Amino acid sequence: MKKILAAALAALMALSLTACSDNGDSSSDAAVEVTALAQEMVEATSWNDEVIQMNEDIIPNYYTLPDNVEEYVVYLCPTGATVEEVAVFKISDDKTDALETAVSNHIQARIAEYESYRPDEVKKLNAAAVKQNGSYLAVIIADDTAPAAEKFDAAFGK
Amino acid sequence: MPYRNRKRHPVRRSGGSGDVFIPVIILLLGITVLSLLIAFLWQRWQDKYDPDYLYPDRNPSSRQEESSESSSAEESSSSEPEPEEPAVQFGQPLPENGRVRSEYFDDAIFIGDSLTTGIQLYNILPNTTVLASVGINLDNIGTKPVIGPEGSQQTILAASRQHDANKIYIMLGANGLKGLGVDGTVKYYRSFLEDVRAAHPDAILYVQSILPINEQKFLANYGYSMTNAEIDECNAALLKMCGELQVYYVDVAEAIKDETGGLPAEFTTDGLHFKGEYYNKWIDYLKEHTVPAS
Repeated sequence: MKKILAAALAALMALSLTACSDNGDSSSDAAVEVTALAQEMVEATSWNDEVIQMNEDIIPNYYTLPDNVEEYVVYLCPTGATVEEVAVFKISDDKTDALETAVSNHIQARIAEYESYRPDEVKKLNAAAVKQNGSYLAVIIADDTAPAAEKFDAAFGK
Repeated sequence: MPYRNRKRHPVRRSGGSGDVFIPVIILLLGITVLSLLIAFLWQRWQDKYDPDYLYPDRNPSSRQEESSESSSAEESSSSEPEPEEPAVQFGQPLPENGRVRSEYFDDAIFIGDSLTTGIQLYNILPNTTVLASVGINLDNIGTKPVIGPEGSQQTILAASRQHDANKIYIMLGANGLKGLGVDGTVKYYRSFLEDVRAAHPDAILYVQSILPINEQKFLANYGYSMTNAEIDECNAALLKMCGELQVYYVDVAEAIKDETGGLPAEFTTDGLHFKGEYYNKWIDYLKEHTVPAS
């Protein structure tokens, strides 16, 4: 009887720990891949100012995302000093046209913001790297976009 | 001998079961304590950007938004004279007035340029409304559509009308000070404030002082010089304007200045914008400089 009680308590404890660890993160394996890929790209890049992952609520201020975007992670410079950025999107199909338009509009809007303000930053926007592989698309805005681009390619075995 | 063995056997079995049960109980208690410890540390980590958490005991007795019922009950039952509220005079910077909680900004709007966008990007006050745009200036804020989705963008003032705000915090002027000069800055600021007041006649308007810069880094990054003396001169003119318009002036620059009156180099990349730690200083200052509740 005591063994049964001990086993029941242990099971209850394991269940409660599982419940705690699941709090606030119900993302799928695929979402974790987008997050991890964006983080790898950020870590591979040299930045002039800090870049941090944006809260999901803020992204619509920067991207008008089409309906087929199912996962995304955006890193921006929160101080406003630079336009530096890494964004990774995953769409539910392979139709990237609408997303590419959204990315282009975003870059043009950033150029409009910074051209009379910090012209040096506009050079980075004009040289932004947009990488695509299947249903994944990434935007890299930095002095040197190559390291992050290599990480993106490496994620797809290139 | 065989008989003895038969008698001892059940006793030995009983002792063996206890030997298993007690370590299991100890293990479960250990896991419970560990779980609680992890939960506690997680909560601390989640709260690390909340200045209320960092400074929980600062002026606890004067928090405005604690239960009004309990405070009114205390007032009615006490025969002691009420404590004097800090005197608020238009044309003077708002004095320190206890400390409000983050909820104070639930019905607030923050209007400004790239510095104000940082409040949103750093997620410092997720409960408030930020209507700000990089590069916006006093001479284009009334006409430039910058808020909202592509194709249907609105000016900041138009966007503000969609919010039933009770407090409006405005920080503008740094971007155009060099071009507009002090007189031009005040002229445009006055006009904008009149528009804001017409759109939100019942809201408390707070004008925040222009924040200091790091002069060396600013010159290196923006290609022209601006000094903190010029900013101070403009702030003095804004203070005077606020007195004339009966608008509250919050001297938040006081919280950002170092001992030289500028922005410390280690907290800024370009001499104008600053990192998250200074946003906490900014919002902390606002929490401690509010209009006393009427």
